[in-house]
Amino acid sequence: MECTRCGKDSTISTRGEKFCDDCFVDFLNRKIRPQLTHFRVNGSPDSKTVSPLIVVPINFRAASLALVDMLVNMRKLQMQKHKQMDGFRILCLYIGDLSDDVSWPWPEVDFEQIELNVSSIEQPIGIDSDTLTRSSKQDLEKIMTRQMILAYAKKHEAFTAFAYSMTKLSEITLAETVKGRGANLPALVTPDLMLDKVVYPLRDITSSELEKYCKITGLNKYIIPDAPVPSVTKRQSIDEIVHLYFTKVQEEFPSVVSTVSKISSRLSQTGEECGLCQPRYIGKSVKLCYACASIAKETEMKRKLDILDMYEL
Amino acid sequence: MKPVCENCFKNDAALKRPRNGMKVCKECFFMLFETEIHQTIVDNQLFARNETVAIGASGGKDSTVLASVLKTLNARYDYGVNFVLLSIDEGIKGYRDDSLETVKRNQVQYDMPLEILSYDKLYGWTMDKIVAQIGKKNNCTYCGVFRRQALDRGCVQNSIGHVVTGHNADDVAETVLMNLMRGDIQRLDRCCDIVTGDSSSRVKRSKPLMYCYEKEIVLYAHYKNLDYFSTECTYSPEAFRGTARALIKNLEAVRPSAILDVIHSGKQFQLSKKSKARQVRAVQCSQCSYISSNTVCKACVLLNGLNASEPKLRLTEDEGGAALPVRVLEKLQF
Repeated sequence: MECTRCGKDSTISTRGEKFCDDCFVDFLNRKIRPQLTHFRVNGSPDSKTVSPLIVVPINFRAASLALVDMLVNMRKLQMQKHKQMDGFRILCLYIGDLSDDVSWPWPEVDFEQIELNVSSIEQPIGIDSDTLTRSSKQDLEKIMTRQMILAYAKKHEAFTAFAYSMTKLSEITLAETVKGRGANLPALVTPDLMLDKVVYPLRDITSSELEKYCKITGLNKYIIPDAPVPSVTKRQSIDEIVHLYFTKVQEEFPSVVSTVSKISSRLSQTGEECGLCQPRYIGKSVKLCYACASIAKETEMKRKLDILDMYEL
Repeated sequence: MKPVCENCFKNDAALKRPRNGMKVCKECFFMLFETEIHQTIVDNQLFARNETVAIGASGGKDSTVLASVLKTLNARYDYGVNFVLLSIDEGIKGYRDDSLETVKRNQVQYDMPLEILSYDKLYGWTMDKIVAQIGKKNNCTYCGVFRRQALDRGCVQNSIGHVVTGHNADDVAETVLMNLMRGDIQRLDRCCDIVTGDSSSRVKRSKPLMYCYEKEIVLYAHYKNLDYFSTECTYSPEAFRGTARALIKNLEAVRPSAILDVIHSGKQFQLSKKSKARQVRAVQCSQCSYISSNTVCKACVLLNGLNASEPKLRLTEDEGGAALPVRVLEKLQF
């Protein structure tokens, strides 16, 4: 079959269209532009204004590597077209430990690493991560990672571009609904250029398309594989169950992913006050939302059981 | 050694409550389960004294437990409510005819009047006939739309203004996820309301078992030896709903509170101003004057489709004509 755009031999079939490798990469690179209209080249070559900074959180999975590649390409194109002027600068951020054998594909792009510090939030909120179930522990780590990214971006007066694909956004929507964070859903998955300064450039691209992108562009070799998911359902986390569900359901009902990813944009932005998962209340409130209160309850229950054990009751 | 009941600390625990893992004896389980439903009724002011309330009874576990618990609570807390069993006969041979027998026994067991309305009488179609016409693919849509309206019509015919249904927490959570996955924002907004039906609808509907886990309903029915019908509908359930149900069960295995957490999220969802502006207002159906979001209600649309596709001419038994001897001969057996 021929590529519907250039007539060369097609290698990929997606969205009812046949693509060759080059056209597919070009197609995805264009897909992120509608989400980044705020970062057009602005001003004249002699103006001294600095273009805005975009912090891109990296986890060395296909989506984040593809996003950096696309942003690098977009910036190069801007500089070519506008006499070396750009619309944004890129800074990549990794939260957590990183082994020495991991290599960074873009020497020209700034890269920073910060240790994940879950304990900083535990004490004021009354949560001890050692007492939590695997699911809640994962949840807490994700919340903390997000908070640290947003705090870092705020400190640098930067925007944050989360590498969430359409598939990932729908997984977050469903998983957070299941955890009881329905009220805070819009704050977690809808772009906000004013308050939190967050964008989701990959929101129109599926995870399988991003995997293909990495394969074509050779970014595959930089990917750190996901940790294995336990095969027994009881040991899986909520995020893992939802991820497996979407992997299965999109084969039979392909439209579900795009439907779910768009639903939060039709919901009101009124969130529950929470000193753990809501950036605007962190440090200002010790009140917890319904979902975070359930995590805190696990610590409380564990402490009660420990006391009962201590007195052999 | 058997564990002690964590509620009364006297009897041996007989079961572990699926909703919170609490180990309780049978008596405490009955009391806790019933009290929680009573609390739901009181908190939401579901009933008024001297009100007549219809219980949508299918003969299944949910409606049987609902009837049993409401009778108990009505006597214990003196609600002063008159309960009536209201059953809908969808006309499904081998399923509904058997379950209706259970409802008839429930009528005697709970000493409540019983009203049975059939699709055949209301719409001129049974589900068996509908499936023969349209196949098994979308038959649940027809059954659901017709049943909803049939319950309302049954109430109006008997001058009843309130119908309670046996929807449990698992059903509601499943509906939240289904609406989310279908992108049905209007239904997502109201599917967690315990009372539905506004001033424009003639019949108020409520779900007193909305916070009860399906597993606890089964346990209650089992330990109370309730007489219920437990066969699945012969027309298989929707494939998509099946995936949502499986997801809920997996989530419940990991975190038992997941069902209530989904309901909590469902209650928190609020439409954006834009989506609210697009919300359709309820009007009366131009054909049957039933409450509808369009000029013609969904039941009438489906019914019109069925009637239009039905063959205009049909051979009947008593019809004479030249072909009669041949038809008689065809039926002869030696």
